[in-house]
Amino acid sequence: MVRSVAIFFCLLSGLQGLPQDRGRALRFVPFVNAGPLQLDEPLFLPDGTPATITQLRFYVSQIRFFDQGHIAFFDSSCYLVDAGEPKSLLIQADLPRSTHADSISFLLGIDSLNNVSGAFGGDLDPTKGMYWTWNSGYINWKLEGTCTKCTTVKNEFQFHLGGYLPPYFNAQQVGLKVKDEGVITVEVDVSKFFAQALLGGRCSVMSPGKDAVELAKLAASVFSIPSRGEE
Amino acid sequence: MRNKVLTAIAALVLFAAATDRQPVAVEFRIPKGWPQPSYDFANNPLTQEGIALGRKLFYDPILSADSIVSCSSCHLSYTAFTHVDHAVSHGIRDRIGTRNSPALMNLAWGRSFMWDGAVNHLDMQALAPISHPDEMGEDFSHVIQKLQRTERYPELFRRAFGDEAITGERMLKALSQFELTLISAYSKYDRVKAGAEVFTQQEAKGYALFLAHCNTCHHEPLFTTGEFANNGLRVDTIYNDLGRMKVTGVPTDSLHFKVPTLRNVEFSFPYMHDGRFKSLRHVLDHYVEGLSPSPTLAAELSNSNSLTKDDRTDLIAFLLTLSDRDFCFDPEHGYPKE
Ligand code: HEC
Ligand code: HEC
Repeated sequence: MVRSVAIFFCLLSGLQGLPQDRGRALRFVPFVNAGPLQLDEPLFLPDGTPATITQLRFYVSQIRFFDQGHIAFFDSSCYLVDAGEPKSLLIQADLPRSTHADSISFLLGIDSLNNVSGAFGGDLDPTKGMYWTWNSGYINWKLEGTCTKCTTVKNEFQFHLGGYLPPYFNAQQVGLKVKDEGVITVEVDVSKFFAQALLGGRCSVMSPGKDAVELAKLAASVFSIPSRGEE
Repeated sequence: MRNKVLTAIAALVLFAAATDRQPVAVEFRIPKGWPQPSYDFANNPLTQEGIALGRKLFYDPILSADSIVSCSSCHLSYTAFTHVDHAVSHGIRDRIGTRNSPALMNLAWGRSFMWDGAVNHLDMQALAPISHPDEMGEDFSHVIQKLQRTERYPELFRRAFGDEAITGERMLKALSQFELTLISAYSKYDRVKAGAEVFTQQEAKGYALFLAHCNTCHHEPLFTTGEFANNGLRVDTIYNDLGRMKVTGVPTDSLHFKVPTLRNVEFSFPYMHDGRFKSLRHVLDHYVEGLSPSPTLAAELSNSNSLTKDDRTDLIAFLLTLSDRDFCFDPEHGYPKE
C-alpha cells in the first residue's frame, strides 16, 4: 500500500513539465526500502546500518515491446536514466497507443558496438560522466553513496559497472511481463542491490571484471512491474 | 535612414552568407601501397574547419587544469609529436607520469591506442590525458564548459559543425580530425620504395636484416602490426607495468605492449613504454643480448641473438631512413597562427 501511494506520487511529480504522453512510455521509479528513493537523504540498510545514496544513474538501450512473442516495437537508442533528473525517468517510445504489448525487454547498459565506435552525442556524450577515461568503455550502472560500513574516505561507496570485452561483457538483458498500458511503470528497487553489493565490506567496484559482471546481474534483477493487486 | 537600411540589408546578407557556408570537405589520401585505414571517416568526415578547430584545441592549454599544459606539451610536432628526452611524461604542476609519450602519426590506421591498447578508438583517446591527474588533471565536462565560455570557440565550432553548440562529441571529433591528418609517408624509405632514391649499401643491408628479424612485428609500410607482444623487456620494478594484461585480464597478455611504429624512431628516444633505453644502439643490444626470459616472450625473437655488432650498425642505418623531416616541419602541423 505504502508502495503504490508512493508510485502514484512519483508519477505525479515526475509528470510535471513533461510533454503530453504521446504513444507509449516507460517510466522508471527508483525505490529504496519500500519508499521513493531520495538522493542524499539518510536511510538504513536491512541490518540497520545508516547510509545515503548520492547518485543512481544507468543506461537503458535496445528497448523492445513484445506482443505474444512478436516484436511490436524496437528502439535502438540509448537512454541515460538519472535518479536526480526527473525528466530522464520517462522514456518516450514512438509507437501508437493502439499497439499491444504483453512484455518488454531492454539492455541494462550499452552494447559492444556502441562501446567501440568513437564519440557520440546526446545521452552518450562523454561529458555525462558515464565513460571511463583511462580504459575505454561506458559505465552501464553507477551507484554512489555513503555507508558507515565503508572504511573508505568519508565512508563512500562507488559501484561503476561496465565492460564490453569478453569474458566480462557487462550489459544485461532485462525482460518484464507488463500490463498493456500507455505508460508502463518500472520499479527500480535499489535496496536489493545495495544490501548485497555492500556485503562483506565491499565498497568499490570500478573496473570491468568478474565482480562487475556479478553485480550487473544483481542490478538487472532490481527491475520489476508493480502488481495491480496492490492498488 | 537609407544608409541604415542598406547596412541592415548588407548585414543580413553577410549573416546569411556566414551561416550558410558549408565546411569544406577534405579528402583523406591513402599513401600508395598502404592498407585501408581503420578509422571510420563516415562518422566524422574531415573538413578544413574541423581540422583547424582540432589543431587549435591540440595547442590550447585551456584543456588542462592549470592552463599551462596542452597536448603539444608532450607531443611536439618537430619531433614527430613525441616528448623528446623525457623517459616518462611530465604533466601539470610538474607531475610525472608512468609512461613514455609515443610519437603521433598515422593514427587513422590505429586499431587501439596507448601502450597497452586501453583506448579503443581515436575519438576517445583525449579523455585519458585530459582527466589524468598527472597529465592535464581536468574534468572533461568542465573543459567543455570552459570552451563554451570563451569568445572564440563557439564561432569555431559553428564553422566546423554548423552551429555554435560545443559538446563533448564535437570536441573529441575535432581533435581526431587534426590528428588524422598527421600522416608520415615521405621518408627516404618511402622515396626508395617509389623509385625516386636508392639506399646506400649499408642501409640496404640493414633493410634486409630488418625484413628477416623485425618485420613480423614492425610490419611495413606502417612499421607496426598494431598488435601486442612481449619483446623481452625485464619488468620494471618501479612501475611494475604489466601492459596489456591490465586491460584484458588475460594472463597470456602479461608484459605485452603495443608494437610501436618505427617511423621517425630517430626522434622518439628514449625508447620503450617506460623510456628505459636512451639510444637505438641500446635497443639493438637489448634485442641481441638482453632478452628477459618469460612465458610470454615472443617466439619471433628467438634468433635475434645472431645479429653481430656490424649488423646492428647496419640496422640502425636503415632505421634512420624512416625519418620524415617533411612531416616534422609541415607548417600545417605546427602551432596555429591565424
Ligand atoms: C603529460 C603528457 C601528455 C599530455 C599533456 C598528452 N599526452 Fe598523449 N600521451 C602521453 C603518454 C605518456 C601516452 C602513452 C600513454 C599510455 O600508453 O598509457 C600518450 C598517448 C597518446 C596517444 C596514443 C598514441 C598511440 O599510438 O597509442 C594519442 C593519440 C595522444 N596521446 C594524443 C594526445 C592528445 C590529443 C592530447 C591532448 C588532449 C594529449 N595526448 C596530451 C602523454 C601526454
Ligand atoms: C615480437 C615482436 C617484435 C619484434 C620481432 C621486434 N620488436 Fe621491436 N618492439 C616490439 C614491442 C612490443 C615494442 C614495445 C615494447 C615496450 O615498450 O614495452 C618494441 C619496441 C621497439 C623499439 C622502441 C620504439 C620506441 O619508439 O620506443 C624499437 C626501436 C624497436 N622495437 C626496434 C626493433 C628492431 C630493430 C627489431 C628487429 C631486430 C625489433 N624491434 C623486433 C615488438 C617487436
